[in-house]
Amino acid sequence: MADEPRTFGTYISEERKKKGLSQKQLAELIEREEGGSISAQYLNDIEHDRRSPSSDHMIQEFARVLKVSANYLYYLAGRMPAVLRDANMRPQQVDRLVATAFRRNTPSGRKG
Amino acid sequence: MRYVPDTTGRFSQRPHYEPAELDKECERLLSQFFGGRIPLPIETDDLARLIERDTSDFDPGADLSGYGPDVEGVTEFRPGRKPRVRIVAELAYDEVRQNRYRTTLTHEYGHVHFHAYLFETEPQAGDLFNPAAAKGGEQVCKRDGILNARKTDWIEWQAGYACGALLIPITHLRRVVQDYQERHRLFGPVAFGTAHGNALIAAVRQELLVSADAARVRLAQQAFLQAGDRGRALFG
Repeated sequence: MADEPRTFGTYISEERKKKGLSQKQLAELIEREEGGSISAQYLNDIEHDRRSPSSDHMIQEFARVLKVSANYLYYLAGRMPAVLRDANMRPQQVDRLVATAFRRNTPSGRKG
Repeated sequence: MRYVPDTTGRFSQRPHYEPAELDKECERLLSQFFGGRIPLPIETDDLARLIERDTSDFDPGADLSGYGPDVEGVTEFRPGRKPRVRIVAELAYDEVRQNRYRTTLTHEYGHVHFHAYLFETEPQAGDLFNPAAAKGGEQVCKRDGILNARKTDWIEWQAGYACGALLIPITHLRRVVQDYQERHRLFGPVAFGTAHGNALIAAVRQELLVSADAARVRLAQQAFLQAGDRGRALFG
């Protein structure tokens, strides 16, 4: 059976389980921007893709606690890292960036 | 355990367990999970961890309203994959309903542990004549049957028994009852509805973090609680 596509939620869930954490434990470690930790219910909703991470801060927190790539989390969340968002790039620069990334990372563009 | 014909039509044959066999297996799996001694009461978080270990997905925040108003858990069996368990969102995150959440969680785990392999060997086709019914590989669990299902539905009865055996392991239950009996100079089963009956239920509740219903059902299953005036003090 083909694997289901990885989503932000399934990746967070996989990494949490790899680290031997329960939802409750991970939720307690993820700090909200305004202080305090997120709830286990919110984390469960994120893991089941019913909700998306609400901010860059949240993505950074997941990356920090789970020790995973923040850029990959941005990609899975369908968001752009702030460093790119704030770069004020021109259309051609964005096209070039995407084309380069696409060429390097798709199987057909991969060099042997 | 032995195999007997499945008269419910789910499978050609189904496993028949004696209660003592289910008790023994539940204690074994808990002991293995905790690496030896079972910490009692078992924390809800540990129960969630146990169910996550043996499922491909565990969702304690699910919307199960499509299955009907009294459905609290669904275990979905998919060939080639671990089962998927969903529990209605109203239980897990409500402090007042933690006992109900724990019983639902262990009931669904009973299906996972004791029944997943059956769906693997005999995949279910589903009810073609009733599209509103649960899909073939789903076990839909209603509130009333979580703890004490009718024996006529063997799959729910076994999961219900496993629920009690996981939350209230038999060895510990015997110890609680024995301690109570010795303290109060009681011998034999205690009667329902008496002061001792209620106190025994309270002792099990307190030690094992379960509802009064779960304690009562489990005590009755093991014949520590009985109807009528059979439980008498040994010395007056």
